[in-house]
Amino acid sequence: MPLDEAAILQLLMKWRTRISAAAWIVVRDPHMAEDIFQNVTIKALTRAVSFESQAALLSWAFITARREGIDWLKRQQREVRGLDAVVLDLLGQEWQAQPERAAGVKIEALLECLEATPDDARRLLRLRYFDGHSCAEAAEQLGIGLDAIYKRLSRLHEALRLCIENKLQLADHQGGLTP
Amino acid sequence: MSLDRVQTELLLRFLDGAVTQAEQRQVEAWLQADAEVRAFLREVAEQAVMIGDVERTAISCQEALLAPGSGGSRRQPGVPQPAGSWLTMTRVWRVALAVSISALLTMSAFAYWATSRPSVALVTDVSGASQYFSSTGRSEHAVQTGMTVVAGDTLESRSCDASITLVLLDATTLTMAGQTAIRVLRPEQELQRFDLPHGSLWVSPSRASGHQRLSVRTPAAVVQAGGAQFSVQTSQAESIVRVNHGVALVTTLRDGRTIAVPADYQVQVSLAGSDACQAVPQPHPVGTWTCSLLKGPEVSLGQWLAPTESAAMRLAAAPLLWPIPDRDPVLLHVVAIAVWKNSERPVLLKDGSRIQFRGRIDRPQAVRFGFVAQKMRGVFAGKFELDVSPKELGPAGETWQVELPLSRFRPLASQWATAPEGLELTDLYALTIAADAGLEINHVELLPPEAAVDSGLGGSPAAVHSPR
Repeated sequence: MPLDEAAILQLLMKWRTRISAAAWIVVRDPHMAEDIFQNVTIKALTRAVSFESQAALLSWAFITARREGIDWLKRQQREVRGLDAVVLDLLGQEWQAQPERAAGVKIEALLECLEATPDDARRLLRLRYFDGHSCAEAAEQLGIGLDAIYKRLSRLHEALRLCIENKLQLADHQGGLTP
Repeated sequence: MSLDRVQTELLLRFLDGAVTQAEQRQVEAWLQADAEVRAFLREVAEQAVMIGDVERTAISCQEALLAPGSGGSRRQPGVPQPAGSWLTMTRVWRVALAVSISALLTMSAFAYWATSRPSVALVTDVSGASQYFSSTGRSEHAVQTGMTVVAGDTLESRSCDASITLVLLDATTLTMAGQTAIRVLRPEQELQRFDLPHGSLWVSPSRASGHQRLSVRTPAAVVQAGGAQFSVQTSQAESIVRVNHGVALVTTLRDGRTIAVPADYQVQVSLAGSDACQAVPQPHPVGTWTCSLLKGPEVSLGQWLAPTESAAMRLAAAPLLWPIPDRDPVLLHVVAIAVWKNSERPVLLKDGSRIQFRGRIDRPQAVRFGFVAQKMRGVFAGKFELDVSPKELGPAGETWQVELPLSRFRPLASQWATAPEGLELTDLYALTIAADAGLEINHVELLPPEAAVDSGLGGSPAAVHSPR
């Protein structure tokens, strides 16, 4: 039986972070990635063809997000060194192969992790991933060298990954992130 | 992950667009051959998206706090229905009435509807002060139960403890909370349209299939749904849409973006700021709430007084004419506070919770305390009230403080919830009836069960006065 509109939305919202991330890898802009996710959602709801399974919907969503991203880059005439289609396919397949949690749960975990992150590190993350600055621009604003920025970002991503994993495992045992 | 730092830093430089062609080839080769490298890239991308979400949300909250006229501190198209024939519409209308309060539908009301211009909805319940402005410019004193509504009509609930319930042709129920205005617009392309300039509206579809699409336009957004259960709370600059069942599409008027909001999600749309809105999970409720009585939009009714040494915030009761069927209206003096505009999270009424009011009256007179509640992630659930005698309040002219357990409040209408426990608090009010007793309120708070203070009065009255 084809997925109804509510089921489509529930599934896309659950996978929102990963679908947006697939778009982000192409456009490297979180705001555009969010817009692309919304476009994918609207297309899924207004599309003439139905989705017979969750896997079919997700596969379509990842491919559409990537295509939307590439189209946007073309429209913007931006020169972004993109990844080969084979790599993008692999990334999409691996994203779909792993079970996903509700987007809100992971964001709540990230929020708790960020609260324990030093202010200057948060500022770097914000400059890079929200304000859309390049690492060179972030280095200038923070008054540190470019190599130090890459090193800091590398450490930060790894620390956040471990922290989020721990929070999610803890939540699994306790039944929730907050009492 | 077993990547070395050289690999991760080169990947980050690649994402930064700062690699040479040789380095690009190196990155591509790693990514094709090594699942660990791809896992790192996926992780960075997910973190980037989530950091964007977190920062956007933080900015939206700040802007909502700063925006004048905003909410202060703080939310699919269905299957289009073919144009129904007159017979079809009549049948649907009957279904609608069968699932609403059928006793309210008299043959005369139905005949009136059948002989007038196409009606959009039937008013099935009215409580409190209200106003009706017809599409022809005629103004009625109050909205009446049993009246039909056509395109161009405007309904307004004029006090915080008022409510109006409408049933649409497809049996969808619209419930207007207090201090809410709604204008019925002409349907377009089988889309039933409403204007909601201010206030709170709950939309609850019937269980029957074949829902009509409807849209609700606020000053900040347009909400479209077919068969979804959702609520809209709006001020002149900000709207919150919370979806509890089904899917709603929310289009922001600021930038024209459309956001799909599924069940258990909400979206907050503000005219202020420049950041994109997004659907987020509805927040967990809290069991406590304190009103700082800032001079802001959370005050629905009242007049500010100059501060004194003992009370920095003084909100005096404002006059309000209260209609009573077949009798002269009664003059009330009311202080009303919109809790939903003052809390980022839903405020849950728990078994054993108490509502604390601090204030004073100039003349000894009973004060009626009340609140409005909705089902948690649901629809309007009713109003609850309690009269406190002047003896319980203490001497006139002195500051008193009462802690009122929920169990003392009585439900105002039998068709709504009979007990407040488990409901979400949306509005609070205090009033005096007829004579102006000089009521003023200085502080309001919802106390959790464990934080309730022993009144020392043996537990029964649970209302204490503490002259200052």
